[in-house]
Amino acid sequence: MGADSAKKLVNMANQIAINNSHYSSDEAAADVVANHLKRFWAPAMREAIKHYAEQDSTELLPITRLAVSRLP
Amino acid sequence: MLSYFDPKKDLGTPAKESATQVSVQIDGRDILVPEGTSVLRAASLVGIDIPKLCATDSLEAFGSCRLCAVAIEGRRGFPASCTTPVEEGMSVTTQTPQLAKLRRNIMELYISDHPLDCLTCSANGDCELQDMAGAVGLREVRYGFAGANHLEQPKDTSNPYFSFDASKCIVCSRCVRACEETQGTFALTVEKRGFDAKISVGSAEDFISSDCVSCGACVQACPTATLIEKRVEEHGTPDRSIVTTCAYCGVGCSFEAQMKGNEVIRMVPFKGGAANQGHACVKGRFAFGYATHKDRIKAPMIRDAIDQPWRTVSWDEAITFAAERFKAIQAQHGRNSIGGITSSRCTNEETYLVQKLIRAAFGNNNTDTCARVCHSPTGFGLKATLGESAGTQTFDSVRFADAILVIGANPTDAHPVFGSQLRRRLREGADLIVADPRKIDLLKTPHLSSAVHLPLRPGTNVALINALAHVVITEGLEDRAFITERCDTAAFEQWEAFIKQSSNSPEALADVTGVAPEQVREAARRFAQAANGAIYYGLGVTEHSQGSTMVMGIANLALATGNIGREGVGVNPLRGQNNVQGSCDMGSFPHEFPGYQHVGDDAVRTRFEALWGVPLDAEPGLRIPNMFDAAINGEFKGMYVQGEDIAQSDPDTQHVEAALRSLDCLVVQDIFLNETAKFAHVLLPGSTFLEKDGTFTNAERRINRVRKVMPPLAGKEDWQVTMALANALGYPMNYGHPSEIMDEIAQLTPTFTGVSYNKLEQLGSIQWPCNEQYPEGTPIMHEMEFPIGKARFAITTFVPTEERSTRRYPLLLTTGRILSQYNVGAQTRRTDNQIWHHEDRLELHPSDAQVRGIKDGDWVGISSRAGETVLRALISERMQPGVVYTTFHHPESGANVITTDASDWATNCPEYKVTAVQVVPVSAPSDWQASYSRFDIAQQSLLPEKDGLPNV
Repeated sequence: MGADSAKKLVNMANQIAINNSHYSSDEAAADVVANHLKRFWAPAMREAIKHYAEQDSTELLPITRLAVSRLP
Repeated sequence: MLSYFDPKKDLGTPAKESATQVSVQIDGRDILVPEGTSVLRAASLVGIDIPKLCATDSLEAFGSCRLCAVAIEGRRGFPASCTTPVEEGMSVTTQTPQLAKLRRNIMELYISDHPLDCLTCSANGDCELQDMAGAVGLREVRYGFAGANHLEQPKDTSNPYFSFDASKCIVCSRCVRACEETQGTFALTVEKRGFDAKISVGSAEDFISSDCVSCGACVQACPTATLIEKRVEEHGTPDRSIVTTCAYCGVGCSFEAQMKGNEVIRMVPFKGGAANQGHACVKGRFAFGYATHKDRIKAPMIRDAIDQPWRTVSWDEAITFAAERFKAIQAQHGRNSIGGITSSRCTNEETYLVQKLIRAAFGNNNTDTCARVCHSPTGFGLKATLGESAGTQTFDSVRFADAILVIGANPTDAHPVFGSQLRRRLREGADLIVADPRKIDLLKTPHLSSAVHLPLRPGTNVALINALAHVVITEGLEDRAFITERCDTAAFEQWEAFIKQSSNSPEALADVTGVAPEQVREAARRFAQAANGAIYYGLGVTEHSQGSTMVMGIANLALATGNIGREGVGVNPLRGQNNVQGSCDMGSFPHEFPGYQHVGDDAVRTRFEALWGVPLDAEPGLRIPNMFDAAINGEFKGMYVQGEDIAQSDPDTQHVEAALRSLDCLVVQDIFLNETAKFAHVLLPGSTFLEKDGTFTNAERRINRVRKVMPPLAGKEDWQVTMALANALGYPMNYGHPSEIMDEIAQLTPTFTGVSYNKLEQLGSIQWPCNEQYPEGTPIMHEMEFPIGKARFAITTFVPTEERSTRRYPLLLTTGRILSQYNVGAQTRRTDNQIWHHEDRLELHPSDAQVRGIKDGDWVGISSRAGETVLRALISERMQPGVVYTTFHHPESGANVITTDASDWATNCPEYKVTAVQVVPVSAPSDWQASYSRFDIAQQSLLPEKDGLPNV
């Protein structure tokens, strides 16, 4: 995966997190975000963001980081 | 087809609705009709056709010709039966010697000032004046023809599709009334009085320079040859007709394709069409010439690389070539390295087959559709809140709406037939609230009683809908009974606490939206306090970074005010293309099988696997933008695109072009060499809606039949091409007719289990869900319960888009479409509609133009972080300062070179409606345009020669 693609996926995942940040806790929000990624993202995209999170998760918002960590 | 009335019969005056039935006797026959029904209509209903000229059942009675005079027991004289309502116990006689003489005298006067050229007249055999002369037994004209007359009146041929021959006009006013009542444009009038009276296009010189929108309602209403289609003048009257469905916008108008042999002479809107009820627009009625345009691709073509000439080959060779390439790619790069795109312009059956091919023959879920770039947030948002990914109403429901909220939609341009219905209701007194950055034409509706315009800044929809809902809740305007009974309590309480926050008040959000708080409060009160409040929305809602959130916000507002589940209310997405609803229903999205059933649901997948006979992937596939990214990364190598032009319609053109260039095999199935096909290796000829059988589903979930009226120019209907490709890939498909495909859809889709071609023939059309519970379909959804039980309010926090105006890009660009052109223009650009819009222009406010030294018509460069293009300027007060607008109908405009990769958080629907740009005067095309021009010329030259002439 190229740097541009990684940046796009990070932006997309963060967007999902921001739009679900109204839940009572980061834990609850992360569940919703993780579920969204499982329902709507192709496995290759999920693998790519997991790989990014393992290498360098600095651009991921806390909810996103938590959600990605919950992906199977 | 069967229907509840004979749509071909003209009953003289419109039907009336009343709970009171009135008993009358006409020529000794008894009939019971609703109170308010005219004597003319009542007579027609018992099979007595009273002669008439100025009356027709699509228009209110006018009573000018007096030909329909009758005798009524106990009344003096001979009243016009069209303007006389029935009364209890009334006894009517329609034929007496006196009436016969009166009618002959009337006809004699008409004919004394009418050309006697029936045998050479273009309406010969299809003329009501001619019919009535026969009906009344006119045998002489005692006045002669030498007196003052109108026989030398000039003919207006300025409109490309119809002519106006004033010498044949009987001034019955049907055209004027059709323009007012049916279309709502008020472009025509009767000028002067008495003998000097004539039909006029207002202060304009001719039709083309008038306010006329060329809907053709006047042509259809004209009882003579005064207003007539030029094609009828040129080709004669048609000899057969077939009812089918329009292939333009999501209104889904029914038409009679009136034919001579295999040639369409004219398209006449079908009175029995439940969506359009006999009305049409300039596209559907007139712009069908593209079907036989010289640019049609009539034979399959292949090439190894996009810089090579196309080779015309047999269907077998082309299909084998495509299948072998796809198989080779998968062998080298893996099962997920190919995918495809279904079309919202193709039929349900064709769309179903393409996604089936991808899932079953490609073995992955890399299927997507152009709804990705328009209404995918509608599916997400409505499913989350109401439990079903579809609008809730019929179009007809607007007749009962008291307050109409239109958000991010321009119905008079993009959904013109519904726009006319809407205007009719507004003239009757309904309140109009428009939330749109532009002052759309709906706000200029003649005789509009009351309107509020909320001119919000692009990108602030969610802030505005929250502010509206805040007013409803904090001022106690909500419908507590509905909320308690029909909505999830916990979700409502959370939402209520959220929406009550002062940060959601109109005052707090005024700086964000740019809308005055008192206007927002006024709009919220009007909507909430109306007996029936209906919401209509378009791509101005969905094509945002918070498109899905906004759809949920709209559902919240409808639920909070109790405006769901009956006539006159509801959430109504206005779908852009003819089969957007259908393409979504048919499982085009990568995560859903037909009927919005998730691929990860084991029980669902097992049913599909059992019927399709192959194991299916349980994971979502790639969406269109994901496919592009994967292609550029070298992970995605092959694509099958049916009936879409992603190179022109999708955002960030240069990114799309780079992705398409990266593919090893691009198979495009289309009727023309469209922009995408210029990057293709296989070009499979498509068939137009006139050349195939199938169904389209319109924006009100109405499944309408598409009927073949001519053979496919290249020999195959689109579903047959997909079938051949599946078979060549080793996955057997063997359907004999699209009805068999629909039968399979019904087996697998819970909302379609009751749908069949037989039932469509019986009912005319069906609104899904159609199943055991709703055997004849569901006009209004959620009347008693939601598919999810109780509706769920959703928290809709406003998150500003990252695409903001800056010092470098100080203006915000929105894009859209106009009346005469359709989407990427592939169809309408190949018709005479070009006369109205031959180029895309950049619309901007006079103040933005002035500070930049831009005059109307100047060439201007528009730049964004994605790219640059050049258009001519159109200076317009319709825009608000700081906002510019353009259309994307012409590929050389490069409108999507400027739009960016920003998209909706939930669905990746592109944010077409907000792009930060700068606009400056320029004198030359952009680099992209120069490059496009070179590429286009090169690609045209690679086509096989036609008739010995090169294609340059």
